[in-house]
Amino acid sequence: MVRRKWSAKGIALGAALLVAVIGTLTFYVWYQTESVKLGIDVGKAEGRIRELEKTIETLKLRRAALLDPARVEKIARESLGLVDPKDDEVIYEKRDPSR
Amino acid sequence: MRTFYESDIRKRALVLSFILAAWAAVVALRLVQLQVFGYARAKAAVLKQNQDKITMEPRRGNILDRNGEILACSLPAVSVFIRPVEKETPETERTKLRDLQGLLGLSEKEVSAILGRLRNKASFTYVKKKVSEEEAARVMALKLPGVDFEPADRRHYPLRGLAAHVLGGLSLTEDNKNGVELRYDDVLKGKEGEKVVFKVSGGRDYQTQVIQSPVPGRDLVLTIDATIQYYAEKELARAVAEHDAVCGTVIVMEPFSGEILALASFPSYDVNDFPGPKNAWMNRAVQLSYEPGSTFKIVTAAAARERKRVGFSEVFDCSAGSISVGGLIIRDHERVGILSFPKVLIKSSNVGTVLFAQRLSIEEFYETIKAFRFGTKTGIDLPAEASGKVFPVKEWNRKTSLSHVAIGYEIMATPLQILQAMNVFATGGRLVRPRIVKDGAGPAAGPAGDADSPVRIISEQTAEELVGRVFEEVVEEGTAKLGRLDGFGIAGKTGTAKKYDAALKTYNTGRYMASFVGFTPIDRPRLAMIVVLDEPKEGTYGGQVCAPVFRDIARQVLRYLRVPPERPLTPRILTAGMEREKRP
Repeated sequence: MVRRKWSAKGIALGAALLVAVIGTLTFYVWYQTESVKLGIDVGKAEGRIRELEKTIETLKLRRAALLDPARVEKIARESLGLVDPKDDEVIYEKRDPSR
Repeated sequence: MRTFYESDIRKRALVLSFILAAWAAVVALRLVQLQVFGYARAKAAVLKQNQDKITMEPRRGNILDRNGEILACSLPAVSVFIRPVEKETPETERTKLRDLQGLLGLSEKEVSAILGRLRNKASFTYVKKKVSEEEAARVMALKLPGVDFEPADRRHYPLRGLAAHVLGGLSLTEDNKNGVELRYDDVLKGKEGEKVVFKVSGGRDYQTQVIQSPVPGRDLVLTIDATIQYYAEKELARAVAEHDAVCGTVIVMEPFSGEILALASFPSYDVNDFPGPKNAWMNRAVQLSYEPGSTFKIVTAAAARERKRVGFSEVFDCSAGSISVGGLIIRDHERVGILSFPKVLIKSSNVGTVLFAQRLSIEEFYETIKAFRFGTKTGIDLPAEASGKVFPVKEWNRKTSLSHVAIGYEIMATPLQILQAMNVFATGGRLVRPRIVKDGAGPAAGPAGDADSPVRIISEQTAEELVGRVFEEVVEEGTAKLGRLDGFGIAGKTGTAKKYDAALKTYNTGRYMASFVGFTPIDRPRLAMIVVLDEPKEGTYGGQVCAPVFRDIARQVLRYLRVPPERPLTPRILTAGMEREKRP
C-alpha cells in the first residue's frame, strides 16, 4: 500500500475551503438568529406602539371627560365658589387692527 | 441447470413482485385520484379545517367639535367568539355557555342561538361583541376550550348627553345608528380588512396572514362648539322645567357661514346608552313640523315690503281686536288700537298683519314663501330632516288661506327653517344653508359650490329697514321686552301658535307652541338663534317664556366669543348699600 502525500498547497486550499464553509454556515446561522431576534424585537415594539396608542386614546378620552363643561362649571361654582362677573366687570381686549 | 426449487422460488418471487407492483399501482392511482382529481375538494376541506377567514374591523373615525374637542371616539375593546371543539358533548357546550352567560350577561335567546350554531358546526360564532377588557380578562381566566378573542373598537361619548341629537349614537352591534353617526357612517366607518388565521386541530392559531389591511375611518369635525352647546342645553332644560313644557329646542347659528354652533333638543339622552328611551330620540330642531304662528310674520313683512305694498308710516285700524276673513274670525291677543306698520309687527297684531298681507296676491306671497325655502329641506347634514308643508297655490282657499298663512297658520315649518328665514335679515337679505359638519366629510357632505353659497332673496334695503325699524323694536318695546340684553341690540320676533287638535278638529285646545327667533348684535351679527317651547304651562307667550332663554344664552355666548358690547352698559347706581338699575 502506498501512502499518498498531501502537498502544502492542497492542505492550505482545503483548510481555506473548510474555513470558508464554516464561516458561511456560521454567518448563515447568525443571520437567521439575528433575523428572528429582530423580528421578535419589531413585534414587541409594534405591540408597545399599539399599547401606547391605546393609552394616548384613553388619555384623550379622559381629558375630554374632565373638560366636560358641566363638570367644569360645577367645580367652579360649588368647589371654588366662582360666580359670573357682572356685565360691567368684564374687560374686553382691544382688537389689534393690524392682525 | 435450475433445479425445481430454484424455478419455484423464481415463480413465487415473480408472483409476489407482481402483487406488490399491483398494490403499488393501486396506491399510486388512489394518490392520483386524491391529489389530482380530488385536489380542489381536498384543499377546500383542509382549508375549512385549518383556517378561518376573519373580517378585520377598521377603527371608526372620531367626531370632534369645532375646537378639536372629542365628542365621540373609539377605544379598543375585545370581541369574544367560539369555535366547535372536537368530541365535545352538547352537555359540555351548554355548561361552557352558561359560564359565559354569567360573565358576559348574555340573554337566553343569545345562548340558544350560539348553541344552535355550534350544533350546526359553524366554524366561527361571536359570543359577544365589544366587551370591555376587564370582562374579557375574566373570560380568559376560565381558559374555556374553543373560546377565543379578537380585538375590536367600542364607541365612547365622553361628554355623555351633550349634543346627543347631533351625534345620534351607535348601538353596540352597530346596526342601529342616528345623527351624524348615521349620516356620515360611510366616512366614519372606514373599510373592513380581511385576514386568514391558520390553526392547529385543537383550534389554536399558529399563523395569521393579513389579506387586506383595514382602512381606518376619517375624523369628522363638526361646527358645534361644545361650550355653546352646553349653554344652550342648560338653559333649555331650565326653561322646560320652569315653564313645565312638554319639550323644546334651541338652535344657535353663525349667521354668515350658516354653521350651527349649538343644536339642543329636550328631552335628551346619554349617547353612551344609545338606543336609550325612544321618546328622547326625536331631534325636534329638524324633525318637528309645526305651525309657527307669529314668527312667520317676518316672511309676510318681507313679501309686502319687498313689493312696496306697505309703507312704514302707514297705519292700520286694529281697534276692533278681530277681523272676519271669509267667515272666519281672526283675533288679536288684546285690543291694540290704531297701529303703524312697524307697530303692527312690534305688537304682533294678527289683524294688522292680515290687513297689509291682503295687499299681496296669493301667487306673490307664495313666491316669497318658496324663496325663503319653506316646504323644502334646508339640506342640513342630519338624517330625517322634515321639509315642513306649504300647500300649492291651487289648494289655497282664495278667501281665507292668505290671511291664515300671513299669521303663520295653514303652513308647517321646522324650527331650523324659521331660523334660516330670520337669518336672511341678519345677512342683509341672503339665505344661507345651515351646516353642521365643518371638515372631514368629503364628497359625502352633499351639495357644494354654487348650491352651497348664499342666495339673495330680498334686497339689502328691505332687510335693513325691517331689522332697524321693526325687529329691533320687538325686543326694545314690543312683545319680547323680557329678552332685552344689556349692551347689545337684539332683532327678533316672538311667536305663540295655538296647537291644532286633529281629533277634535279645533285650535281651541289651550295648548300653545311658544317661540322666539332672532339675532345679535345688530350691527355685526355673531349669532342667530331660535328657542321653541312646546306647550309651556307657566306662561304661554313666546315673549314671556322663550325671549328670556334667548337672552340668557346670548349673554353667555357673546361673552364666551369675546364680543364686546355694541352699546354703553346701563350704569349701576350704588346708594347706601343698595344696588339698583337705572336705564338711560
